[in-house]
Amino acid sequence: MVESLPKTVDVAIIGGGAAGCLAAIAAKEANPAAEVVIVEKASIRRGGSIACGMDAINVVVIPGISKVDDLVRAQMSAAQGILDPAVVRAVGEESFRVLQDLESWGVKFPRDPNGQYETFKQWSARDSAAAVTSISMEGDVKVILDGEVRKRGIRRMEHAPVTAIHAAGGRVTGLSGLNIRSGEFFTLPAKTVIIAAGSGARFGLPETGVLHAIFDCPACAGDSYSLAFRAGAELVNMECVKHYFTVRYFNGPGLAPLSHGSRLVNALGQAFLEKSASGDLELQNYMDLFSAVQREYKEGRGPVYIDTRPLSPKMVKELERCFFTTERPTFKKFFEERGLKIGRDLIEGNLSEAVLCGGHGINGIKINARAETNVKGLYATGDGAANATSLMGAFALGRIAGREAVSLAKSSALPEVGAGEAEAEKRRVWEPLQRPEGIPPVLLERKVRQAVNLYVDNPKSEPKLLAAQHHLSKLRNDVSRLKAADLHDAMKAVEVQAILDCADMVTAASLVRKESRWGIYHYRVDFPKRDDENWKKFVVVKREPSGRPATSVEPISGG
Amino acid sequence: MQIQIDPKKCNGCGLCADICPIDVFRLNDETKLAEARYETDCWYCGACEGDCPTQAISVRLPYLLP
Repeated sequence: MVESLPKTVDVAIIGGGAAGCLAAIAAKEANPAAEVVIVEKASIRRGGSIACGMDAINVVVIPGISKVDDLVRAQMSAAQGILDPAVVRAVGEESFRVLQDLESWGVKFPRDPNGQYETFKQWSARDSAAAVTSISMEGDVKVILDGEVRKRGIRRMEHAPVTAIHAAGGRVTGLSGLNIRSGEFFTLPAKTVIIAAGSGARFGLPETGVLHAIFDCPACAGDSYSLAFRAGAELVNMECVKHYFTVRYFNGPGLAPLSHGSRLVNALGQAFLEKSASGDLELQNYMDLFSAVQREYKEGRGPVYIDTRPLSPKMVKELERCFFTTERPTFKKFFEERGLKIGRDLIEGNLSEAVLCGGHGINGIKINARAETNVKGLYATGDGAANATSLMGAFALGRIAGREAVSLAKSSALPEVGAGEAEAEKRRVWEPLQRPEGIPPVLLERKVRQAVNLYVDNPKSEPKLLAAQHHLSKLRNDVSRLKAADLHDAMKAVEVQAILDCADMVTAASLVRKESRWGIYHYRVDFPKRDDENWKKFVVVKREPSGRPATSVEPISGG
Repeated sequence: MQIQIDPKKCNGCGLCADICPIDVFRLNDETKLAEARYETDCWYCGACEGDCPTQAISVRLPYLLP
């Protein structure tokens, strides 16, 4: 849908996923007169990582059932201390209100006959006293959110990927983007901007080599991180490169069957997890699980299987519901095509490609408990922001960012976007379309993501990371040779530059952290031990004037 | 073909082109019906299949998945 540009924008939200919708609704609730606009790459109805819904919210604090303190302790422990506890606390404190809002809009959460919410514990927390409570969710969440956004008269610009956030003197001034249907390049001055543009799903190359056969939604190409970086915002934990445990090839969630009672075996039928798990299956043992899976494959005992035979009929039903009706319902076709049945069969599992994610992982834009970045007027939420609280983080920090932004906007004049800045951005976006010939964005993307697999991702070492810099800078030169065939391709030309930005940031941060931490997420063969004494700190990445990532090391407050 | 659109069922409403999170669909200039122009970008989330008002779309998994 193309609409004329609003004259004054109080809050511009990049991305109409779960986080962006909640931000818009909260901003409008706090000030109904405010001009709030969601600028979305695709559509609000289905845009983002949870196009077809989600089966559960992993993190929720419900009075009488769970406590904010427990959530903070659990997430800090899972992050091995490298996380801002104030952000997690803010999410926890906001989470019940989020649940109530969603429920009032028609999202369904299970309750017992007495009306009390029925929660469950994740696989990782099932033996843990300080448990994080999760809750199942039913309902077409994105369609519901789309309706709520529409109801409130929130302006929308769809099919409009944002390509740049503008800032001057440490304050945000607006954004620019490309409407990939009309071809219009737009610059939108805005008093405040909220980044809700998702994760870096297209980072490593999956083992199938199929560019979009990945765990997280490919529309999230690292836009959040690149936009923030180019606007002068700080990012943290970029060296913590995530892999998921997935149902192999489909790259669907593999931990869910384990939460419900499946076990993991190698090709010899051995349950290998017990060997590596240190004591109780505490939260940090996700790391042990991932390391163990990698080891079984590396040492020739693969494939690794999710043995679903121990599942009770009730759990089989529950898994089929969550796999086949939400997230990506085509999971059902995957099982059918291969003649696999949950509850009867062993299903191959493996680690996903390398992914960057601030919701399921801990890397991303550095925010405080008010979702503020270091750039005045710029906020971040969702998988783009370092928060480690998954979908609830998106919802809750969305709400927080929305009301904080609209409050700042009230006392701000509309800034001006520098004409030179907007022109330069327009040139960057248009050039690939105007070149008579050159490299298709998809080919450069394949090479960049190969470089991520070969040089940036684990195992890491200084020489290897220096080689990464060498290869990435060569690939960076090819940006000036990109040729976009059409507007869709022009979007991809911008996306591949975002992936390159991400690879640069990860490499720079990985070089700085001279220790190993988080299992396979950051393993330095030249510094194989975890070193809490020197490295219980953030590695912060920020753009220097040359465009290269500058790094610094900062203490963690309250950590 | 990974995404199959039944031309007898498609009414050219353009909903799939509007809602696909990955921007896979366009309406064909000549037939005015939906086409999966950027099919290899598909993440097979199934949103189009579920939302199509005439059930004209069927999403398959990429051939290259083992």
